[in-house]
Amino acid sequence: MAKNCPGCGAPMEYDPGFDSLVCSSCGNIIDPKTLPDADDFYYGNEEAGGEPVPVEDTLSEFDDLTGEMYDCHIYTCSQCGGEVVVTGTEISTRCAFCGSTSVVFNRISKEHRPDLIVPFKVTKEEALDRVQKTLDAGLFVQKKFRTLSPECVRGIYIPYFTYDGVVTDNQRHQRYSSENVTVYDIDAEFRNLLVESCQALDDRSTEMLEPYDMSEAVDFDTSYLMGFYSNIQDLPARASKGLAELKARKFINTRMYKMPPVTMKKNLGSSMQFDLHRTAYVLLPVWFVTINDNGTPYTYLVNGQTGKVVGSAPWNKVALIGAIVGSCVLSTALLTFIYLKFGVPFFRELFPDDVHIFTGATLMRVIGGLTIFGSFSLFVIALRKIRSVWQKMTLSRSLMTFIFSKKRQGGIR
Amino acid sequence: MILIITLYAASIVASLGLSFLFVSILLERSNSYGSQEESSPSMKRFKVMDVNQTKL
Repeated sequence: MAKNCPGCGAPMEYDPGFDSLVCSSCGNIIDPKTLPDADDFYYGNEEAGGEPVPVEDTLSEFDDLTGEMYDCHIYTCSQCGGEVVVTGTEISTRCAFCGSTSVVFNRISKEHRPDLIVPFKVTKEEALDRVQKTLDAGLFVQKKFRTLSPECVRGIYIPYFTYDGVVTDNQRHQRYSSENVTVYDIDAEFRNLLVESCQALDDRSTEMLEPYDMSEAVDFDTSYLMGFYSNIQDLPARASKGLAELKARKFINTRMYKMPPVTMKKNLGSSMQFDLHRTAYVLLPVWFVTINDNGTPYTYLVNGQTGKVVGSAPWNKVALIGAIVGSCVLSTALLTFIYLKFGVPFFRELFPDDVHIFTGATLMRVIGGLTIFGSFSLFVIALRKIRSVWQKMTLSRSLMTFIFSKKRQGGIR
Repeated sequence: MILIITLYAASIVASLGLSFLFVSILLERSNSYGSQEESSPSMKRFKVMDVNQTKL
């Protein structure tokens, strides 16, 4: 059900710029907290002036599914009477017929009702602007990508669980250059450790959107969903706890790896003890911006609170090869100049006339070995960086993310 | 003379490696946005005690 303007009766939408519900018809601006919550309507709060609405009246479900049928829910729009099909995990959507924002009540009640919500702070225009600026700044971004023509932009609330608790560990480290083994006692405390709990989305993409400032989270109110899409959590409790432990382990291991002395070291063993417990079910804001490149969709994610952009643009092959060839030619030319100007006189002075055959051969072996090792290391580091860009590009054109964004009703936001 | 040529060839190979690395860093900064945070703001306390050292 949409929240209507008390002035003109038109549906209202949450505007991050005003942090309020704004009427698209008369421009009325209302604090979300002053309007009754959708649950009040559903449960027949007398102050809200509504009779209880039976679930069957707004939602019909097929219990016995056979053949080609699939699990879907049909919601009748309270504005125009049109029937909107929503997936099993959506809790808010738009009417495909009249564009009215709608909330399916039974998905946000009882066990599925989120505890907290971080409202959108970044507007649609700001999100587009941020994606545009990052693409503009890219040296190797294809030209057609610089003129952003997004196929669709959608603001979606993603469900997360937060975990608090303590993790203790006992790790044994050995440096490669030493036979000594150092034992470390680790004690880490986590607060608001975020675990994305929507199976339809790739965790690797959403993890990069973090951090969120959880101090800005407010009590869940359906008003914040107006004008946006949202999903409920669909992750089993055990899986979500497993993910929280995995994430905590990753953070601890990264910290340990970076702890001085930062030398080559290996972890010989670890015995992590987790005492993490779920504290809240929270909805976090994300903008999905999809750009189409010859039929291949690239979806950029923008943190709806901080504006952080996540994604990768396809590279311009000509510019990339040009840059590699150009920098090689330039560095070789520069090196030749320096070598002829300073190197040759220096070595002539160092080894006048003849170099002893043994000294010369040993020197050549040492220099050759060092060069091969150094160059190989540089190539490996470079290839790892290119692989990381490639992986991120694969995530950006992930059909999973695209479908998650695209399947939402209509093409508005 | 051989030594001088070897040194020159070696430095050319190294410079190619450096150029390749330079371009890959540029590519990473240019085309890839957002990265996983290496330390979580949710980690409120992190204490490490070096308890002992033993020889393998």
